[in-house]
Amino acid sequence: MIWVLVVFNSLCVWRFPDRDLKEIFNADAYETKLVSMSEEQQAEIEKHLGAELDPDETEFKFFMVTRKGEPVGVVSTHLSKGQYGAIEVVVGFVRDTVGKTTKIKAVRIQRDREKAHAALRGAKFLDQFIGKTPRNKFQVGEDIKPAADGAEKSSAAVAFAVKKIMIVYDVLFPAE
Amino acid sequence: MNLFKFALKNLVQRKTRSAITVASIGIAIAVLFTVLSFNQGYESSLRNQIQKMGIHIMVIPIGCPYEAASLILKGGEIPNYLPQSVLDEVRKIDGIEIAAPVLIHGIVKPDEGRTDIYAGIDSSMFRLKNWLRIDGEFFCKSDDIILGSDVSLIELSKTGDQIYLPEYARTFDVSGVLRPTGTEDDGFFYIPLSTAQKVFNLEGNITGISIRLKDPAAAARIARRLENIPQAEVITMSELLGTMLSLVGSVKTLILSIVIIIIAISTFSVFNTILMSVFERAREIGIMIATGANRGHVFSLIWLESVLLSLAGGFAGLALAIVASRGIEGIVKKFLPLAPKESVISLRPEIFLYTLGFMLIVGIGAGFYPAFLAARQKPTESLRGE
Repeated sequence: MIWVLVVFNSLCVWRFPDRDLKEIFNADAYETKLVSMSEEQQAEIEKHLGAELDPDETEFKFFMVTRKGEPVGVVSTHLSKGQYGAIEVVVGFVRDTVGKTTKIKAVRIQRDREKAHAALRGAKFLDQFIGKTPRNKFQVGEDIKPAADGAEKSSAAVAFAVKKIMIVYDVLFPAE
Repeated sequence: MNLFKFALKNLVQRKTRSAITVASIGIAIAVLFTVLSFNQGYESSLRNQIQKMGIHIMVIPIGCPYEAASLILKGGEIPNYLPQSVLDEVRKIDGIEIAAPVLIHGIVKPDEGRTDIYAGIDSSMFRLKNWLRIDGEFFCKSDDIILGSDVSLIELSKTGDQIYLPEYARTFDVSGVLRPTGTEDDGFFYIPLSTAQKVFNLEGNITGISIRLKDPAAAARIARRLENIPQAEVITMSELLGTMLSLVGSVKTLILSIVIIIIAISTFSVFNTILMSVFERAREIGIMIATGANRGHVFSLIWLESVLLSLAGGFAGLALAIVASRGIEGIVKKFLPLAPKESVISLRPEIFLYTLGFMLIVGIGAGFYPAFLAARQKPTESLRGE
């Protein structure tokens, strides 16, 4: 059982780092950080998220992106259950050095088998996340318009993945 | 101070040189040990896997039979197909217990960096592979799908969920999930054969037929009958096993040749280390002989140093091989035809002893001449510094 859970956690690979780095940050390098969370951090994440983490979610992977050696942002990936299979979400975000807030720079879908496949990957849906912070709401139908009619569940899966990544990062890497 | 301690002290005094020599031997031995362990492990695990499949003969389209059989067993797609009418002819032959057709179709997703593999099957496949267990049910309707256990994890899907094929705009209901088998079966999407033929526009075609015989001893006789069917290529599992092993055998011979060269270089490294040490210690050896040391003792001392150096390298190499074997295995498996999922490296004690014995011989061989040279030194010349 433990083996299954570990595999579960490591399923969401970052499939196209070169492409995403270039498109999102115009960068070409990154460093991987694997971070474990304490029980207190888990409780804080679950409080902000309004949902429990999966039992296998004990550590999280963040890719610290650099351009010419200077940090320019962070990328993380998440595997969510869509309506017709899994959806792999890639989120690129930056931390504002003045306001100390974490803001989304871009969201990409790197794998899905949804009926609203094109709409889910389209800018019209994904660009709604740009600029959002962990404190914003990500409610599909209210704060985020669904990718297409009938794609509410898929859209909610993406929104939840984005929100989770942002909250986890903010809790595990608190602004100084 | 006894001879052993003296030899050890001499080696420790030249730490860097001894360490480099031990490292070079260690690497050579690690490779040798891994190659020998791999050969035994691969053969037995391949044999086990093929026996576990319960398949005695495969009927596949005419082409490269071994590549095709390997692809079918591993789940790959081949561009040729058999007409389904072949299945009816096969099932008429006496002595065949189960003939299970399969249509394999891969959907390559370059924008996602992966390939989904669909297997169109009927209930005979589950009778053939009777170790497969489903959480849920077998297909009840044409748009049911069974997920391999890996697929279920990757798609986060379970019995009762739906799976959509965007490429063919088809929705399937997950009727069951296979329990993990540790084989390639874990990585398939299983759909009814007739549905697969319709969805993938391959009506009337199958990729192959897996056959279990009532009596495995009749394989050659039945294979001859099957060969009379037009468009069909027949391959028995013992032929497939033999071909796989001979393919690996060729690679093994090549690797062993390289290992032998590495070991020869390591032997020269030991020889050079000991010989340099003898030259550097000429004065010390001269004093030993002048103060009454037996020439036999001098010979034994130098020889012992060589043996110790080789054995230290041997142990270091074995430790390295044991620690790194899983990593090496992962790399090797990527290049293997029909790589079994179970371990292909068998760490057996006899290989351990064989490798150490080999290193002992290297030590004895490499140290003989330097020891001989040291023992025949003339104290007067050594002390004069000549």
